[in-house]
Amino acid sequence: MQFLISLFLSLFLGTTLLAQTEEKLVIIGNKTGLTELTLKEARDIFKGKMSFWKNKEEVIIVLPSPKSDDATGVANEIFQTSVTGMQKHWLALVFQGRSNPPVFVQSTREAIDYVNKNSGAIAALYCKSSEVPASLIIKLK
Amino acid sequence: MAKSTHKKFVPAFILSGISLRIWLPFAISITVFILAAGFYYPKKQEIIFIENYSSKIKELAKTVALGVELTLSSDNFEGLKKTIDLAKSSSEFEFIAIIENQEDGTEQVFQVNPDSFDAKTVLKKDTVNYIYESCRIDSELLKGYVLIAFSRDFIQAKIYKLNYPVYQFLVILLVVSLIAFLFFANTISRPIRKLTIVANQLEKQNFDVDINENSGINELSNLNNALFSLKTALIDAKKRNQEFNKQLEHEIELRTIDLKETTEKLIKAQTASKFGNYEYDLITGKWTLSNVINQILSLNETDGPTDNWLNFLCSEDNDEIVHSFEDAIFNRQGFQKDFKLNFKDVSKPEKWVSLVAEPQYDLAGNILTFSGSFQDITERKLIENEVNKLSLVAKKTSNCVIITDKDRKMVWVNDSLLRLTGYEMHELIGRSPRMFQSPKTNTDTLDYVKQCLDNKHELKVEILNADKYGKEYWLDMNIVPLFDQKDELIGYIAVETDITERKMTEEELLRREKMLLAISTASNILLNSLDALDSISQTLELMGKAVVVDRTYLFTTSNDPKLGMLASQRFEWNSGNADAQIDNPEMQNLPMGEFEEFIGVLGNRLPFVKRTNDLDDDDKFKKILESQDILSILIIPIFKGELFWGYVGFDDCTIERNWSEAEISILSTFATAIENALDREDKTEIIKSMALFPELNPNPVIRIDLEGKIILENDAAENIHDLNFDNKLVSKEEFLKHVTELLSHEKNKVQFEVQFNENNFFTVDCLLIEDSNQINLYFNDISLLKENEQKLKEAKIRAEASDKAKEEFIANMSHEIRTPLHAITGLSKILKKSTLSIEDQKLVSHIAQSGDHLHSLINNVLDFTKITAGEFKLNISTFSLRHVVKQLQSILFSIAEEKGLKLDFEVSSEIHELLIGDETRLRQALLNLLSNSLKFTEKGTVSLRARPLKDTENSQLLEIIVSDTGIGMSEGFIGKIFDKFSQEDSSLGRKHGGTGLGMAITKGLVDLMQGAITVDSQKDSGTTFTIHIPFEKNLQKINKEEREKTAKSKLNNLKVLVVEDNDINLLVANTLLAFYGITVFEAKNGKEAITHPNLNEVDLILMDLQMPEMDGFAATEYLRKILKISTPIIALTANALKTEIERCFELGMNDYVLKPYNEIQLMDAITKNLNLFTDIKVIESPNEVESGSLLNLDMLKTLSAGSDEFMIKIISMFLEQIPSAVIELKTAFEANDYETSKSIAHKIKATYIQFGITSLEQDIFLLNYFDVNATAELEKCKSAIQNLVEITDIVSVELRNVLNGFEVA
Repeated sequence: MQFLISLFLSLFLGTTLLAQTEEKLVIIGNKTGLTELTLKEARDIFKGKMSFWKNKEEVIIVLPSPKSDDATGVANEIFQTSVTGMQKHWLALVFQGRSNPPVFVQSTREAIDYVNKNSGAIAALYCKSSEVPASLIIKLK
Repeated sequence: MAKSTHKKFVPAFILSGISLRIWLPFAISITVFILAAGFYYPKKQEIIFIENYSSKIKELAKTVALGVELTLSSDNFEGLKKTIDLAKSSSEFEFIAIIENQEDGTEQVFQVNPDSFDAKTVLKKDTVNYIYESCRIDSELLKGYVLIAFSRDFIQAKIYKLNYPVYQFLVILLVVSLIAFLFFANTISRPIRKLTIVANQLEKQNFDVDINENSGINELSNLNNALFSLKTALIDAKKRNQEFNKQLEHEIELRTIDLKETTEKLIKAQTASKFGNYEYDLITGKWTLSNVINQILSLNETDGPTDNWLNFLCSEDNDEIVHSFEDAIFNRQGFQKDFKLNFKDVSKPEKWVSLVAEPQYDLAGNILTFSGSFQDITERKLIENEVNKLSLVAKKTSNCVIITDKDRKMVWVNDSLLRLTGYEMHELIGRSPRMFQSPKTNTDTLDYVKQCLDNKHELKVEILNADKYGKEYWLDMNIVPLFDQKDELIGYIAVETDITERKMTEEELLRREKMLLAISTASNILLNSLDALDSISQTLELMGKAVVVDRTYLFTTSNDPKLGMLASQRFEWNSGNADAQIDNPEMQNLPMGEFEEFIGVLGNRLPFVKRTNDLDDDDKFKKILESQDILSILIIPIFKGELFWGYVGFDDCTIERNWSEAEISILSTFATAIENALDREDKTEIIKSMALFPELNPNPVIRIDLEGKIILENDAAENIHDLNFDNKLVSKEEFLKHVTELLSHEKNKVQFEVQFNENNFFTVDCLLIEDSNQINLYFNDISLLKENEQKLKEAKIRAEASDKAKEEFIANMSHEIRTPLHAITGLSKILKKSTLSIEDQKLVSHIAQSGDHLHSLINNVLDFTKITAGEFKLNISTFSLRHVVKQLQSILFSIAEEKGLKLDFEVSSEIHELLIGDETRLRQALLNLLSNSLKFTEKGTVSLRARPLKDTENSQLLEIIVSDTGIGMSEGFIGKIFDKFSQEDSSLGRKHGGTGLGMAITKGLVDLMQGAITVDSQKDSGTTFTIHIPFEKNLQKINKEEREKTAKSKLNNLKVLVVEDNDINLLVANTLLAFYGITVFEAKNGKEAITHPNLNEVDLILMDLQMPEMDGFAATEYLRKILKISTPIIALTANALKTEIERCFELGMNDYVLKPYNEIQLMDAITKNLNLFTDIKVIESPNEVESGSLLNLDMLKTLSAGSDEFMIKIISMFLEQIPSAVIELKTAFEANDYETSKSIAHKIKATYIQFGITSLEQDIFLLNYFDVNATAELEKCKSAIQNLVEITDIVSVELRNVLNGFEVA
């Protein structure tokens, strides 16, 4: 029994621990009015289809710089393309004037700082969830 | 009046007349100007606007492109956003798009703003409606460009908006200008119209017109004032005119009085000259006669009215005058005619009048009256009748008749005189008969004629005259003076009879008489003289004077066994009008065989008569006559028995004489008299000889009869028994019979040769004694003569054999000497390379120099031997004289420079490009002359000039002059210059070297080329050699393309071995040869060449001379002597030294090419030596180096034929090898290793020239050839090396830049 409990605990904790230490897509936001969202919603937001949050705050998109470690993961998960494709997507939007330009950050730390300081900012990161304050995380459904 | 004119003024606003003419041009001009401004100004504005707008949009495109690039590189999209916002706010573009270049080369619209424009519209680029500007995006993420389009309609609208005020302004300006011009036009025209009216009034002489109008225009005001002045002047003129009319009337009165006086004088004059005037009215039929006519016709008051005076005449005379007037009326023209008037009243004298009638017409052209003149010509008619009567008589006569007036001017001549003199009648009338006088006319006769005529006496003389053409004729002339009834002299008549023939006959008879008298005297002299020749010489003068010729002479003939009959002048008499020919050497031994016509006539015993002008121009006989100024000649042959002994001649040098038959016959008698005298002399001799038989003659003499029987013989003859005659031994009797047989055919003197014993030879002269039937045989001993003759023959054979042996010896010895000599020179050069002391180096140098000199001498001796032995053969091919001269210049340049002499070579452009001849021998001959000139010239110039002396379609005769300013030659030596072993001063030979064979060889070569060489020289002034050589032209022309095509096709399968240690030179040769499709094999030195695996299959070898391990000379010697390979070898040498080139040929090389060479030089040498074709093109001088650069790559670019690869390769080689070679050279020099430094200098020399680095040419030359023992030269070398290092550094930098340029391209 002890063995079984020990095994369960170890499996649970291990899984939890594993979930916290594995790099994945993490969405964080500040005064976005969101606590969770679907991946499709996340994709629409980060592709510039939304300009304002429901609370009238302006949507500020924060994305990892192509040179940063998160860039490839975010490009794959959100834009379903390469980092270049991600950049070109935003280039097209800005060129057409259809959307405010996103903010590119060099690291997860910089992303967290920026989101903390700017209301309406939403960032897509590809990191370990443990690196991010839980208060900022918007869960993906 | 003035007011009324004002009323006529046109109102200002109506355009008509002068106002319109002033206004209209202004109006048209300003309208055109404003329209043009209205058209061009907006156009210009549009262009400027579009330019500005395009520039603005381009800047925008750049900004956007930059924004995109920055955005993509820095991930800051804010900047791009701002840029786009800014673009939208500040520009009115239609769209802005990003076009992306796909990997497959297509374009795709990445984005377009606004997105209402689809991709198709964007990519279509509709330039009709839009103007586009773009800017390239070159980001890692996106490659493409930003495209901005703006609409042309928008621009047009903008421009219209911009120009609208301008249009408004121009319209207003036009309207205002037109109105202003209208005002000005009217202002100007108003006073003009007023002035016009005033002028019209003045023209109508209305001087009261008011002239007060003033104009604001200065010119019109002036015109107004001028009109006012004119009016005043016209009033004055009117007054003066009235006064002038009064004066004129007075003048007319005075003139009328004068006229009356003149008329009276005229009437008086008419009366005196029996000249009156009349008028005949056809309507009334009445005549109005002047008083003079009445006097002429002897009419007075008793005859009644003269208005129809014709009635006073006999009916016939009356009718004639009436008919003349009727004819005049019918012909509607006047007439002049002489009428004879016989009156009904017989007491009135007969009259001759000359009547002139001039018709006067009415307006309809009908004759109303005749007016004219009457002149009494009765006296003149009488004289004319007399002359007519005389001329009627004169015309009938065959004699010549001249009638003159009293002033002795010819008034008439008959046809006989015209025929005789050749003149036309009009040429004679009015002139004096003195015109017929000849310069030879006797002056006494002329004086006599003048005297008789002055005294009005009849006369008769014989006189010599000349016709129109100068031909003289004799006349028997009878002149009679003519008198009128009053015994007044009215003229002369001369009747002349042509007596020329009679006179000539008389002269001919006189001359013949003189000739006969002379013949008679001459015959007498010839008869009575014992010495025929002496008497002939005496008679020549006699005959010459009698015949009146300029020269008489005697020629006698002789026979020469080789030349045949010869004629020589023996005696001559000369009148003094021609040069004597007796001392003329050309008149001795004239070969008669050359004058066939002449000797043919004389041989037939006929006289030869010729006028020089009748002979053909190319007749040799004519040239002889002309040389003696002979115009005509008579030659009469003289025979002695049957033998043509000579001839006597008569020359005319002042006139061209036609000898008459009678004269020739008489002079033939003279020749016969000479023949008789000669015969008589011979007979006398025979008689003498018969009387004195030479009993005591030491030689045998035999007298025989016609049957060969001995009549007399002297003691010497008695000893003769047998003799060898006609190669047979015969007895004396038998021999004498043969002699009589031969003499029966040849009756005169005959000569035989006979032999006694073995060593005794005699000639036998047989003399037939006429009238005696006896023959004398004279024997002359010629044994000694024979013996000498034999000795001479043997000596000649021995001399010839000796000569031949000598030549063979020289040829063999020269060859034998050359072999060890090569060893000496070769070994001494090897020795020089070893480590020797400076003293030893000097000695070895002397050995090498002596060897070279000896070598040159042997070559000369060999050439000379070959020439004299006739073994020298020409190698005929096509060549270029310019090429030869350039080669000579290259070869001699260093020698000339060393001596400080100037070489001045010039080849005329008229010399044909391609000549056919032996280029090598011509070069050798010219090289000998030029070397000679350089040798004997210490300062000044050695020059060569070549030009064509004769130029025909197929050939040219060239004149090549080699001259110098050297020591010259004495006159005595000039004659011997071309003799072998000739040197004017043997000390000069020692000083300058040489065998004295050079000039003899040169002459031999020129002779061999069918040419001629002459020399002109003055001691201490210089020498000039002139060569004339004929060459055929090669008329074949091949242009460059054809040449390359032909060359390529012929050279395509060739294989050439290039032996060269310098990589750059090897690359140059390979590139050139490869261009022609030639397969190239390479060898880095002579050793590789002689062991090359393809050696036996190559068609030609290009051999560098200086190479490591085994040089070109040794390799060639090995190939020729050991391997016995006959493949053509062309030397590649940077040295143009005569000795080196001579050595090339001597070792068996076929040709040489000087480095650096160009394509044409190399290919010409190859094709020439493979006998493919022989088209040689003259080498162009390389271009001058451009200022500012130390190198010129033109030569290499030409060689590269546009191949960048070649250029990169060759420049790279230079940079790799040359700077290091220069350092090596410097190091070697500083280590006193001069051989190495020289070798390196030699190796790099061609490369520097190929790269056009001409500034180092002198330095490298010095480093190649400096004298190791000369301290001054070593110092110069240091400076040269410094230059070499510095300039090579600079050039290397330049070349690296050039190389970078090639690589980037």
